[in-house]
Formats: sequence, C-alpha cells, structure tokens
Amino acid sequence: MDYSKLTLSEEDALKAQIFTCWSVPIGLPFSEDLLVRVKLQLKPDGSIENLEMLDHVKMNTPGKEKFRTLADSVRRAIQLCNPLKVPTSGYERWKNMILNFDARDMLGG
Amino acid sequence: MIRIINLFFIISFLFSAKAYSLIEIDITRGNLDPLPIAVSPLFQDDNSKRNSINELKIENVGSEISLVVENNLKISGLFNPLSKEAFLQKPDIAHLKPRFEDWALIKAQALITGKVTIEDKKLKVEFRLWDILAGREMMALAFTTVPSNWRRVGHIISDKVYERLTGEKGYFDTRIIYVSEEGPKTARVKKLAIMDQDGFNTKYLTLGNELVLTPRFNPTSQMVTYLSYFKNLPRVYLLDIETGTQEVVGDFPGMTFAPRFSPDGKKIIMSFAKDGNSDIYTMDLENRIVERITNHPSIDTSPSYSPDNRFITFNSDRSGFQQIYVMKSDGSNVKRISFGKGLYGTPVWSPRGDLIAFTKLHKGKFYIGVMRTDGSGERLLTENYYQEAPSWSPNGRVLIFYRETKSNDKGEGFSAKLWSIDLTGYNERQVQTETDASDPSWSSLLSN
Repeated sequence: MDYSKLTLSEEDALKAQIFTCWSVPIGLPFSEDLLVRVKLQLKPDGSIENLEMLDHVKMNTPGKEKFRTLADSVRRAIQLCNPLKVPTSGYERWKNMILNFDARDMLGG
Repeated sequence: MIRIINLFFIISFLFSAKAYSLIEIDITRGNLDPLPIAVSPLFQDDNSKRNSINELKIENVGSEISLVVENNLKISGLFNPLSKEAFLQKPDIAHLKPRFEDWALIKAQALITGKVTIEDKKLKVEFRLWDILAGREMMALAFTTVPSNWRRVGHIISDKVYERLTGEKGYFDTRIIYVSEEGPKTARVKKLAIMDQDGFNTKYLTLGNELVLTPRFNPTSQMVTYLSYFKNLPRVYLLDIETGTQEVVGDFPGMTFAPRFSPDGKKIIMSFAKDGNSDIYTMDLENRIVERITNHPSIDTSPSYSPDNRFITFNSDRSGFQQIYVMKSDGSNVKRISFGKGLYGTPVWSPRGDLIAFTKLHKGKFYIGVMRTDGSGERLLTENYYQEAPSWSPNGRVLIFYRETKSNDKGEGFSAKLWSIDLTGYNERQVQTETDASDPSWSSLLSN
C-alpha cells in the first residue's frame, strides 16, 4: 500500500465536496485555457491555511480575462468549501495538495 | 562502510519523499447552476428622489435600474438573482461597505451595489461589484448621462457585470429590429419595428403600407437593410434609423432579396433573381460597385459573412436539396457542409466565428441548430411546428428567432412570436413584443 496517497474513497469524498462548491462559469467559450491549478495548505481540521494560485501571473495578464474569470470561480469554490471534510487520519499525507480545476470537458465545444 | 552509510541515507530520503509527496486531485466536474447574485437597489437620497419625480415621473429610479439589471441577468440563464426580501443590509450602507457575512448568509456569491443622483438634469451613477466569498471588490465604475437614459444605464451595468463574471462581452445594451405583424393571417399588416433587447422602448420605423421582410442591422452603424416592394418587385432597401432616410440598393433588373451587411459594414450581400435563377451578389456601399459572387443554375440565397470577412456561408439547392455551403468571399472553393437528413436553410455565421446557426426542416418539424463551420458537431437546440431565421447576439452565445403557431382552416389561432435560446439549448424564452413579430435581427453592442 502506498501511504503517501489518499485512498480512492478519500479522494472521491474530497472531489464530491468540491464539485458542489464550484459554480462553473458556463458562459465561458471553450479553449485550452480552462485549467486552473491551486496549491492548498490545510490545517488538521481541514480549514485552509494557505491558498496559492499556481498560474497567478496569468490572472492579471491582458487578454487572459477568461482565465481570470475561471480562477475567480475556483477561489470562490474553495472558500465556499472551507473547511474541507478531510480524512480523520494521516494529516501528513494531505496537509499539502494541488487541485487541478479542469473545465474543458464541461465547456467542451 | 562509507558506501553503506550513503546508501542508507539515499534509501531514507526516497522513503521520506514518497511518504510526503504532494498529492494532486483533478476536479473535472462542478455545479452548473446559475450563479447566485444579489442586486441591491441603487441608493438614491431624498433630494435626488424629488428630482427623479420631476424629470422622469419615477420616484426611485435607483430601484428601477436595479430591476433592469436583475431581469437581464436572470434571462441570460447564467445568474440567479436572489429575492430582495431576503436582503439583510440596506442599500445606502451596502454601497459603502457590505457586510459580507450577511450576504453570504443568504447564499449570494456576488453582490451589486450602487448609488444614483439626479442633479442639474444629469443622472450620475456609481456601482460596485463585490465578491462575497473573497470579501473584496471586483469592479467599480461611475458614469454620467441624461436622466431619460436610465434603462440604458441598467443595460450597461448588466454588460459590465456579465463580462466580469463570465469572461465574455455582454449583450444587454443592444436592440432588436423585427417585423411587427398585426391582423388576420390572410391580410397581415407588417411594419419594421425596433426595441431594446428586453422588449422595451418599441418604435415603428415604417407605416405598414408596403410589405417588409428580413431586416438586418449594420454591425457598425445605425443603418438597417431589409426587403420591401418597389414597383411591385421585391427589392433590397437601406434605412438610416436616426434620420429615417431610405433608398433602394442598386439598380437590378429583377428581384433582390435576403440582404445582410458584411461585418465591416461596408458591403451588402444579397440574392438577385432573374429568369428563375438566383445567385449571390455584393454591393460596395461607398462606390456602389456590384460584384457577382456565385454563378450556378440553382437557387443560391441567404448569404452570411464570417466575422473576419474571409468566408461566406449560404444555402443552395445545387445538390438537388437545400443544403448549407461555405465558400471564400470571392466565391471560390465552394464546399457543402450540411449532410444530415432534411433541408437546411438561413445559415448565419456566429460573431465568435466558431459556429453557424441554421434552420432545419425534417419530417414536418422545424429546428434551430448550430454546427461548426466545417459542418461537424451539428446540434439541434429547439424543435417546433414552424420556426426559422436565427440571429446571433453580439457575443455569439444566444440566438433569437421567430416561431409561428398553427392556425385552423379559417386562419384563426395564428400567431408569430420572437423567442431566444442559448447555446446550451436549455434556456429558451419568449421575447416580449407589443404585437406579433417575425424576422428578428440583433444589433451590435451600442456601447463598447
């Protein structure tokens, strides 16, 4: 068993929470830019210690307004889901995680 | 011995790295419900309210503007404006500093606040868009106009909010031109009419003496082109909405129809029919030079340019049945793109450039649909007894079209109404008009 990862059921439970919190901006036209990556640092109770937008430079780049819109929606989703319902054990496994918010399938052409 | 110690450290490092490696989770689904938004009435002080009554006969124009915004956001299908009865904070305080926790309590994710003053015959508006969950301001704007423009102010605010929250331009500060219809089916009186996209401010541009059909906006000016009758022949006309001046387009020895402007507004593209054959022509509006684009012994009609002016889509029965074609704007490289069952017509290129909207007739039903510009990915958005003539919103997200109901043998029960549907196919709505209506055409954004 790989103790560095979440179990499938732990990962599914986290995903299910975030799915309900993420209001996808369904007006966005399809593009390859519909992926927002976020690094989270969590406290043992699942509340957010730190949130880092991994592509934060793009958020204020002229011509990337659609990315900024998607990134805003991701930030709202994380705030809405805060604190996350996290596994009861193995804090070291999940205290840092990267969430890849990928709207390409949902907004596909 | 040293090698053994090194090996121990390497193994220890690998194990510890594995134990605490960063996990990654892909979030590929989300909530597709409309975004909950609170539209707080724009605050107006007592002095301004008195001026509002004097100028506009409206006591609280701030509330009225917020209703325009609320309605626009609601009909887009992308937002869920929350009931004002649930608001905990009053507009004057909310505009200065919202208590985010109060708005979060009613599940708002975004909030619009603002202030309106009417002084010296000027309407001054400031508004702010707030991100409730992040507890920060997303946008703040202020502008001044004449008080009678208050509905437009609501549309402009709606466009700004829409753009900030969806990432694409709005379509609210726009107008619709259409054919107003009254009277029994056998003797309809048809006039050109124009209104705001939400159905307000209707004006009639013709008197109803002559039949009018297929009005189309110039994307760059206040001109429209349409079909009417001149010496008992259908002819393409140009009309300046501001001045009311109209003229027949070109001197064609026959029937001209299905006009539409090029995206730069410099040309009209249309069909010209002679001796039972119709082909596609353009006319340059500056030098009036006419150019023949197709030359085929079939019926070529309903031309529409791509937004970059490089291509034209049209329908033709050159294959034996009416289908959609795409060609270069000089008429070369003609390719059929529709291959589904049924007949295809009225193709219109999206302002985004990625899709072509069309009307389809199959087994006695009419459909409004879209396909990619190479004909792939056909999607039928709506089906009905009779509907046609889709026209795109300027952001390429919504289509407006008209739908007729079946009449009985005496011609009773007939009606024609405007409808809109967005690209999801779920947000279908009737567009309010004062009379029956057909042949709608959507303008560009009035303010950019």
